Amino acid sequence: MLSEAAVPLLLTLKVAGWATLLALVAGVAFAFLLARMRFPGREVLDAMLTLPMVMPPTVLGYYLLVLLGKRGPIGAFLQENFGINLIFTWQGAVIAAALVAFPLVYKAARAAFEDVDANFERAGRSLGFSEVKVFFRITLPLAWHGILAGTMLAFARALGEFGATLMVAGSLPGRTQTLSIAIYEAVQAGDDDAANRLVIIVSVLCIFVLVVAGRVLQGSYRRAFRY
Amino acid sequence: MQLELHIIKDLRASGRHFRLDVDLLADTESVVIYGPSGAGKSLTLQCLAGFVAPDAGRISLDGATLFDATHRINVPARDRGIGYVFQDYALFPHLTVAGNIGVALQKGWLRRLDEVARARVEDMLRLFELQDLRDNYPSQLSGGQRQRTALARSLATQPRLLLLDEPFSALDPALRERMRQEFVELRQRFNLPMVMITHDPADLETLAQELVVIDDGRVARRETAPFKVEVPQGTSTLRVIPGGARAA
Repeated sequence: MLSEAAVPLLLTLKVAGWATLLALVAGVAFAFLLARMRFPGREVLDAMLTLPMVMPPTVLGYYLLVLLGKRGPIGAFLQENFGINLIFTWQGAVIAAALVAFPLVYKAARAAFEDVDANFERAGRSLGFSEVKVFFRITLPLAWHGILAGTMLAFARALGEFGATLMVAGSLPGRTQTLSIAIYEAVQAGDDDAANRLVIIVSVLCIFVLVVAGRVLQGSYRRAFRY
Repeated sequence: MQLELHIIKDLRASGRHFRLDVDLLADTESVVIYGPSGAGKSLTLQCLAGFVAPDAGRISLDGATLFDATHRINVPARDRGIGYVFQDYALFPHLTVAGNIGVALQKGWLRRLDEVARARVEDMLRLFELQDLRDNYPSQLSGGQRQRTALARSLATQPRLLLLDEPFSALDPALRERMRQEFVELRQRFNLPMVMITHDPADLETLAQELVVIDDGRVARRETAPFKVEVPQGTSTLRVIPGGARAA
């Protein structure tokens, strides 16, 4: 009984973990770029990066299928050069979940970077810091609380991802069937006991993540350092 | 100090246009730039520090070119060797007093402080009477302590010029006078040239060997010490009277 839930649970944690990591790296990079650079089309880019938050997951899944499928530009490239196929794999599920979770990291990180007083960075430069040192020694530590809170939300979102994941990775038990997809399958099959167990696991997991995120969210650097 | 400053910078914000056009040759060790807020003092200092690039002009310090628009030279702030003390001090809130002073001296990913650097941090802590506060964070310090930490942080990197943006304005009036005296002693001890901006006439006689009055983006007046200043009651205009006691 427990092992029957353990397989999709572990898979879900693996997919959500990798997806969150991807979303974190990409989200922080884009957030820093848009918070600090001025270039034409900046706000259009911002809208594009936020789009996954408001678009139906099935639409995102469809886009991914078009791009990553055997005949898609990225899919064909990966297949020909590296023999990699992402469709109907757990790695494909990671890409889908990362795309859906990305705006949560990006939005939080951009707000956090914009909240860092430019004079702290200037002070670093006048002390002889390289731009890399300014980022890792000043900007990132001061923005870290906000980024972490966004990352927790992204993880919670990735845990519950359904639509895009189903379209890209399908529902292969033990391989791409995450918790939320397993719940759907259980309900479709009329297996209420299994559905109940899985629903409770997901609910507890999400509440846990949100409580931790709330704790982190309280401490922007201004409050954390009473500045 | 030989400071040559010729900068033009246009700013446009919400339909308003401001032009900074400052021409200045300074050869004393203590230049004080005075003017009302919005006159372009801060912008001048930021151009000198390398935070803001002028649209045109030239900046050189002791013969070394820091900025030259026609030759496309713009030495980045980190390579100018110019210390900057911010109006609100901009102490790094996530670092302790000792951390703020030492952070510029740390090397590599391991954030190592070598013997020389560690000794210099200790010197600074002692000199500015911050030993007991070394593990405190900026939010736990008083205004005077913050200012001493900011000065110690700048001087730890041994700059060749120190810029100060209204360094006493964040302090209450009683403390202000004491810090001014401390600062005069400090400057003599380090023998460090400085450029300071202020809108407080009280800073001028004590601190300025050379007074530069900026108004509406231009140098309105220059005076070398000794001089006296007064602000007639009911006006905001500064009257500078040559002669009198020499400033330190």
